[in-house]
Amino acid sequence: MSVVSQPKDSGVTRRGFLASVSAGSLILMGKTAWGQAGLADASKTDVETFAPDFFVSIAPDDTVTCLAHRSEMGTGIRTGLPRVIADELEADWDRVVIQQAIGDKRLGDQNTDGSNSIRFFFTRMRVAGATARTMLERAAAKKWGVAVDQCYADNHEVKQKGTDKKLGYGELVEIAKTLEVPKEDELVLKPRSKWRYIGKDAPITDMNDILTGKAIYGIDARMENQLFAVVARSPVVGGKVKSFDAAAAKKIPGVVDAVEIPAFKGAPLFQPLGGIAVLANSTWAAWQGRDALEIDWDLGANADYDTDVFAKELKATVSKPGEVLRSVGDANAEVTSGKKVIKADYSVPHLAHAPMETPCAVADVKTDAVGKVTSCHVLCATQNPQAVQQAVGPAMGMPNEDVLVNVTLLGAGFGRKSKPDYCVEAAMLSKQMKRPVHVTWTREDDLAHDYFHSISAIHCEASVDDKGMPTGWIQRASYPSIGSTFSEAAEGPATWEAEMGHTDLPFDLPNISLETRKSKAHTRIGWLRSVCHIQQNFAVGSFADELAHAAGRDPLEFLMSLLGNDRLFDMKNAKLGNRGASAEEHPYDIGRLKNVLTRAATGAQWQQRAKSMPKGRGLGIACCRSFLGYTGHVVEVEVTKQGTVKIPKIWVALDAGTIVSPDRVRAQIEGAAIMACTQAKYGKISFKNGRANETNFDGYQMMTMSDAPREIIVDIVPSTAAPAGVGETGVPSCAPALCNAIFIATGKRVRDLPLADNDLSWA
Amino acid sequence: MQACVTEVGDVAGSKVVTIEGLSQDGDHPVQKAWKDHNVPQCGYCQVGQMMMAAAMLKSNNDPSDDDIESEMWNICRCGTYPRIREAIKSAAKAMRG
Repeated sequence: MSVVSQPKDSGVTRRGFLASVSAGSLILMGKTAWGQAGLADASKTDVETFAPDFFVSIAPDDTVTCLAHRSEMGTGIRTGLPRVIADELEADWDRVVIQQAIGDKRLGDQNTDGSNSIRFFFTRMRVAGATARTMLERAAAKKWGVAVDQCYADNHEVKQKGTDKKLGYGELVEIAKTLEVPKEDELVLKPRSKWRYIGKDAPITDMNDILTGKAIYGIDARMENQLFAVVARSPVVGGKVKSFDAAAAKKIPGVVDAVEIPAFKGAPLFQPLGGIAVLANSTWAAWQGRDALEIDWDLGANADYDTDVFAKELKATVSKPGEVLRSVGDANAEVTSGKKVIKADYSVPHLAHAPMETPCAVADVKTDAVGKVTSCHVLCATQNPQAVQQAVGPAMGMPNEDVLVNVTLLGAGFGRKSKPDYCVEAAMLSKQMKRPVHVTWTREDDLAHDYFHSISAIHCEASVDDKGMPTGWIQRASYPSIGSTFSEAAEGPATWEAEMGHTDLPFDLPNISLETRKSKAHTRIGWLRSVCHIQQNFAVGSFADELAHAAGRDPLEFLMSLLGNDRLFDMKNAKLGNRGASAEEHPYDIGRLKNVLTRAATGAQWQQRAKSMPKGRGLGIACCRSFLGYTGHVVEVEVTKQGTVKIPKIWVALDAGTIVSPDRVRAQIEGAAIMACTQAKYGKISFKNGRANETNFDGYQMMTMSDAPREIIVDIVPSTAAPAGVGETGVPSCAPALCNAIFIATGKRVRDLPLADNDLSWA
Repeated sequence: MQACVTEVGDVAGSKVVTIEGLSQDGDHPVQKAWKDHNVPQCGYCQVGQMMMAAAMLKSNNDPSDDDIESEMWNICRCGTYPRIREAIKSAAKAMRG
């Protein structure tokens, strides 16, 4: 794979693609290192390339161009999906060029989120590659006048069986273009044994650009004649500008103007929060201008939001019976029958996504004489260019599909950049200023105005028999819903949120009651990597461990007993959505869950080491099925007498079915563990008077080299099962394993995260 | 030092080396090690990480784990720290020859 940074002849051979890209981005293309091409469209006649499918085309010079329609935020997907096409096409990876797609619903789902990219598009990409390969084979057969079954593709050439005859892909373009595109049932996909690239490693496409500082992120995106904007947003969600004075701001050299962005009405959706934007010739001038603004706010209904108070309310609410979402037997009768009962409450605060690159977008909106929008081009770091179209279109009064969205690299996303409020800000300001406008969020903007991970409380309660096994299990969760971002009336937890680690409880127990209690949001709530699994698997993973210790049993052995026999979990009976996947393709396989648990334990030498750790050290274990993949985590900790936590090593076993890019999967699982540990150790956004208190990395602390896990051993289970999730799958079972290890090391049970708020000293 | 938290005025009169000055074509031992270990995920912080590593290796070409932990305090939100650690050790080895 090469030439991605400088798509060769992209302006010549890619004419069909580029037709849909405006002049603005062509200028950008010339200036920047990697191409922002448009959409491959097989329906358009291209005089030079053979483009049988949206996702792939072949030029006479042998160049194969693959369209990357998902966003690259660090998972390697911009390399991974094209590798699947190239494999099925029998293309030589060195002659493959990758073009980033614009937002276009004809490409299917582009929301790079939910750990869905490989799962949704593995087969689709194979079909794209196989379509092109089949047509090239048919073209060769036609040219040679032989039967098509005498022709086969092999590494960028079609050859004739039993002869020396061969033709390069480029030489077949002219004939291939004239052939009918085969139907899917005419295609024969390559057998697994013949895969060239799937399951094998390659450096990511953007490696050299990243290593030499040439990579372009949203924060680097530029359009000619652009202004830089920063926005003073209401410190409280739902607040409005009563009045403002920008006289001092406008005196700052470089400041061009200060204008109001109206506050959103109704639910927040992906609308701007509203506030006063300062537009300037540089970000520096814009920042200074913003500091000089005088704004009188009407802070609105959320001005009293105080998370110290709210966290107590959540704990109080989960102490009362809730709405039963799933029940087995009669858990309430069981826990009141006089048996020994163990109870624990767990809580996790609001968390922020905090991608290293803050949200950033540049937009160029053109209007006619009466102010009607005639074109809109947005260039941005987004996880979902179609969501940008859907949010910007109505704001500009134009059809969504007419909004041209180009996607840069993302300085990570974690779910934040699926929510394009910042792109709407850029478009609104560009429309008003009649010039391209780049909106830059500062670190403080990002942490104070995130779509936060929800604050939560979970009550667990179990009656136990004389072996310590639960006879009745009650689990009750309450937290504001992500739904509140989309509907003012929505109260959490929603059923689909509860399915992430709560109602999908896999334990084989006679009496279970899984309940929720309603809770209302007072800030914007969003999805953060692994979403509700964060709090729900922290609770389940911790409570199972608490019961093991109460019974004096080994946590691994106890967990295996809770999981019970190898079987398929009855998702239909439990009314689980399974993330939209069928139970046939993605069963909930308890055997696979037990397998990852066993493998992680074996890696950590659990049997030999777990019981004999000296005080101050500990091994903790937990497991989870999330985003259709399975993980087992063993975390080793060292806690000083003063209570400082160090993590020398983590072992993770992952079963995510068929794997396309093993090294990128390992990297995701390493990163997921560090993110989980960071959130467990420090993660907390608190609110006082409706405002977030932690607005930079001094308050919202990140693990760095000095306290991040030193070593993370990732064991990928070889599998031919359908591809499952990875990026989020690596998060949920890590934090409970960490806290379970801390219990062994210190005797202290952490029920309220973050660790930083707990005294972990021991003597 | 980290460009993201340093004001330009503070380095007035100094010679400043950025990633472009480390090597034009990515063949500095640190860049090579970063590639060998497939360090970057999103890549956004990696230029800064490499510059910190290169600066450290200039004065210490055999850093211990403790040295790496005290010198490398840049944030990587993707969590590439274990690979950065290994890449620094590889680069150091290459630089020692």
